[in-house]
Amino acid sequence: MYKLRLKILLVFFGLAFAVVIVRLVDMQLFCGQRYRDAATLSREEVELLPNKRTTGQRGQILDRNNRILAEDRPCHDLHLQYQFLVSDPKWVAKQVREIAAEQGLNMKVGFEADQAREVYDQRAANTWELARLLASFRGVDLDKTVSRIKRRTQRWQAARDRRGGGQIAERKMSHPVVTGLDTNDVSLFYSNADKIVAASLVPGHKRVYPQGEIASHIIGITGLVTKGDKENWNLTDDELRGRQWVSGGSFRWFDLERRRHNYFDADSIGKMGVEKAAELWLRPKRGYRLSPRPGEVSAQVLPEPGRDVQLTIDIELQRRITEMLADKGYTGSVAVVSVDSREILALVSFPTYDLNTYRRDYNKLAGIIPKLPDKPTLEEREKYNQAKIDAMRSRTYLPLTNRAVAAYQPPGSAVKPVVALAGMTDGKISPHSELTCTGKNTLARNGKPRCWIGRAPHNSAHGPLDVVQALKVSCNIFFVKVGQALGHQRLCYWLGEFGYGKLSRTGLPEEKPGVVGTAEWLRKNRDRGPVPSDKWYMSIGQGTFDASPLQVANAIATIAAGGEFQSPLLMVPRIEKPLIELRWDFVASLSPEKQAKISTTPERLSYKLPLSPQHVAAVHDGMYKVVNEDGGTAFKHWNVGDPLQFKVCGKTGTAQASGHKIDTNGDGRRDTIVRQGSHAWFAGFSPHNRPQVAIAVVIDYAPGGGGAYAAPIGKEVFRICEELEYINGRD
Amino acid sequence: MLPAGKSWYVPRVASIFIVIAMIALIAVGVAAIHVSEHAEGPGGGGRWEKQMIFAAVGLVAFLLAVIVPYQKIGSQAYIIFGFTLLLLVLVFFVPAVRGSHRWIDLKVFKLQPSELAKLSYIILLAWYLRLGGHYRKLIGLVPPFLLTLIPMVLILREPDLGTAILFLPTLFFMLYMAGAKLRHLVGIVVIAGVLVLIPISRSTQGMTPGEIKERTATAYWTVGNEKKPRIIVSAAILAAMEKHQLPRISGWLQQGDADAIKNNGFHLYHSKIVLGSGKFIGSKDWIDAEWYFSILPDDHTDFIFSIVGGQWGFAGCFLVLLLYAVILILGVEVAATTYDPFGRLLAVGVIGLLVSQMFINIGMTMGIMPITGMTLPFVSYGGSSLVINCIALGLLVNVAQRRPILLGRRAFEHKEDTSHAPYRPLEGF
Repeated sequence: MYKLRLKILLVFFGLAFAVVIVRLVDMQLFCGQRYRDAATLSREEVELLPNKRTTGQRGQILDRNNRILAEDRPCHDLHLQYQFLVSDPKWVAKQVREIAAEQGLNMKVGFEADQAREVYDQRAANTWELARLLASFRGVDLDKTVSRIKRRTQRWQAARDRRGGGQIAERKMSHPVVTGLDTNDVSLFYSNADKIVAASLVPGHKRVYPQGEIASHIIGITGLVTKGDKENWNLTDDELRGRQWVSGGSFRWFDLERRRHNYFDADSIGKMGVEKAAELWLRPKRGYRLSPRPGEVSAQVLPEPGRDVQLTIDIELQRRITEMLADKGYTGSVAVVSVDSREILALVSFPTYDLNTYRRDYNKLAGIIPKLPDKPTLEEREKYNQAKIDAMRSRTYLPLTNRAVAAYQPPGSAVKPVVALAGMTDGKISPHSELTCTGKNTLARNGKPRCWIGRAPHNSAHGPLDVVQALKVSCNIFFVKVGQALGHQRLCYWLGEFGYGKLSRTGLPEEKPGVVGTAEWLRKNRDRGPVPSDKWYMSIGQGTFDASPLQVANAIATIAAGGEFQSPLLMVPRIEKPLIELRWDFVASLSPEKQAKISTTPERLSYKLPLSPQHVAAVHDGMYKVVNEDGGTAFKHWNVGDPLQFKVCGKTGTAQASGHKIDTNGDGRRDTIVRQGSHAWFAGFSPHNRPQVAIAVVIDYAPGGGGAYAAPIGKEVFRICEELEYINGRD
Repeated sequence: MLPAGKSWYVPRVASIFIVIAMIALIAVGVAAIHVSEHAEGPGGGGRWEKQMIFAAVGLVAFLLAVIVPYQKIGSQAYIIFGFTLLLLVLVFFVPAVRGSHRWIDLKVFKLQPSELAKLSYIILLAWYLRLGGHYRKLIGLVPPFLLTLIPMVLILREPDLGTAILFLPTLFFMLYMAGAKLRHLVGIVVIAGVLVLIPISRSTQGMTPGEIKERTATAYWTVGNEKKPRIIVSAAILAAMEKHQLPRISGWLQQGDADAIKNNGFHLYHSKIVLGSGKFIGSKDWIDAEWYFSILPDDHTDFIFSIVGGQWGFAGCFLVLLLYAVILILGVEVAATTYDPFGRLLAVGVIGLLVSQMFINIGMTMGIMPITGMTLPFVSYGGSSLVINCIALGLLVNVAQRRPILLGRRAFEHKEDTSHAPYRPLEGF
């Protein structure tokens, strides 16, 4: 029995050996290369270029004539050592010792040590003075910045303590206190360099917007990367591993590429407008340097500056339109689109703001009222009152909203050409068939919607009208009847075909699709199915129908081009480096969901609508008469002032809208109506016989109708287009 | 034929190969320690020379352990054991080093009583079990278990989990070979296993976030929000563990988890990297090797096998295993050919101790066992461990030298009737 047990014991030991050997074979013989790769990876020192805190230059944003809208300019940041900010006694003692060594003082001798300490105190005072001076040049509150740095560092240290201790590196680093210093500041710094302590200048970049207030809604702004941005953009460990197994690529390459691609804490990223939409082009990429041993380089990839982005905007046109709106004192927006290529020539939203001072003015612009201190001085109270007035003004006039793509208003009669074309193409009316206007809607018991002529002070009716006449006088009843004949579904279909209720696909992140009251939309948002009045109101551009000026301008351009629909174009695709060519770029290896999140440049749509030339001609004729024939809705106000060189086809619109309510007492309820009236629209194209430019103008809460208020603005816009030769040739 | 009483000083075949294997293992160990030191760069030197001195001391101790008849050592088993227990108690009155009371500083070298305890425990257990019989009843198993628990508890208090755990496999091997009933042993293992793994729930109240994270990682399941669990249900042994012991377990359970690699699994991950990157023949590029080894902490003691694997690859590891196998097989042969019950149990105990240590240590370097502080016998750096292991092997050789010699067949036993021979030395092999 003993021998048998000995045998069993031996088998047992043999099993243990077998387990170890099997595992050894698996690790060393089968997976050896993987482990060796991992070892190499942890062995090589990866140094990011330029470094982890800074990146290269971000790309420029240019207008169609290569004028600069946004660029990175080199500048310097003033950094102060953290120990200096908190006057760490150990660090101070070390500085004093260094000063003593520098000046040949003996620290063991009492008065000489005091002398060194005095020198240090003097230098510290100089440093603060210089920092304060530079901060005042840049308009920065130094004390606030410093206390923010201290608080942040303490917070991080506390977080580290909770996780198990150790001193964070930030407590021994220098922190930027004044950023964006120019050459004069730099020379001031260096002329005092021997009299200060703990301060350093670090080269960096500053985003500058030379156009100031012009086109700020389109250009957008950059800001520091947030946690959410990192989640969207950065590749995580798990994704990296999954990607590596899927592609079979080397782990090392992917890991390095990821380091180049990922954002770090101090990086900036586009937050709004083109800066956000074209982040992929604009962002600079880091490089890296691999060193197996200190001082030795085994591989190096240089940092890439960001690529430039060209916009189709003409900044001169944009500027003149903005200034014109400012002169007239209206708030509203203007979209100018070229008919052939659908390039957006100008996309004005007014009021606007200066991008260079955006951060400083943010509270004012966003309508945030700062807190009043507990026991305010007179000065503080005055400041608070002024801030409150500014905030209320911003809440009323919404300077941050990009009205041209993001604010949706009912387009009113400006949509009637589309409805006319829809009715004719579907065969519900012919260019010559006449419908009778009685001043009110005979389909509804209460007669609503009424024609404008059926209301006071006119109280009359248009009588029988054909399409051309109906467009010219902008008869509501005619189009209500067309809408009734089309039916709800076809009406929505045609509006959608002309781009209403859909994203314009310029790529701007602010863009919203607007509203077309389809059965689906109504069920989702109004909790009901379509009712007959929906189509009546929608066919005159009211009710469950909102559109942006850009959508209206593009619809008009589509009509002007005889039914050629294209999505408007804002960013010029770079032939030399289109996005698809980045296939080997790292972004292409991100998961599709992430790609969808970070790339906001959608594919453009382009299709030809099946419109007959006779029908288009009838609509053109109607729009021509709106402006150029006596009795047209825009005629009276169009003929004031100098005539244009080219004839214009247009359509006015007066869209009734609910008033703009704001919260004035801070209880969270919007209690006071601050603006009311109708939105005045004008949409048109020029020249009338060979369209080149299509525009849409909307004046928010205008005191009167589109003919009186929007049409003159439209005329001025066409005049500026003529002067800049976007409308040209022989008439 | 030599006179029976003096036969021990003629080297026997088994003894010669055991000694060769032992010296080869020590040589591999010294080379590996040299390699690991090289990776540390200037300033980290001197260990391999020290290990050579330890080896010399170990060889002397080995010779002494061979010369003194093992029966005489056995007769002093209680005194030796008592002395060891005294040292184990004494160690608590010595100032702690790195938070544990493991070493007694004797100026010349640092004595680690727990290492000595392993050896004296084997001698005592073999001495106790040699008379046989009583442990074939369940109640008879109580004294051996008590004998085990005394040093185990003392060593656990040091704390030195790795050494303490080692007592259990040794006990089971020896009881099994002494003839304890298998169903008793299996029953004890099953009951202990169930007790250790039984789910115990704990409320997270009063725990730090770090502790909650560790306990969640090692739990069977949790109740409540995944990020902020209220009740954690884990195995009894894990629930009873202190929070500073848990990271080793969680690091072991979460192998391949990117987050764990940076924290709890750091040791294991790097050990695997170094071991795996050896491939078949090891790293030829000395600079590469330096880098590999510099990322592995404790590489000269507990993780020496990773260094062997990284430097000499599968070939080197296989050689080490082969050397252990030589000792194991020859040891079993010695156990089989000795008649003396004390000698048999002593041989089994020594083999059981060595194999358990080897398996646990190598297993932890490759991630099949959780990390416990345990040396690889003869290879790891460390004086106490090396000398004690040498003495243990000396006892094995001692037994081997004093077993009956069979130069030929016994008188009047012929080839055709060997099957009836009362004694066949190599039966079963």
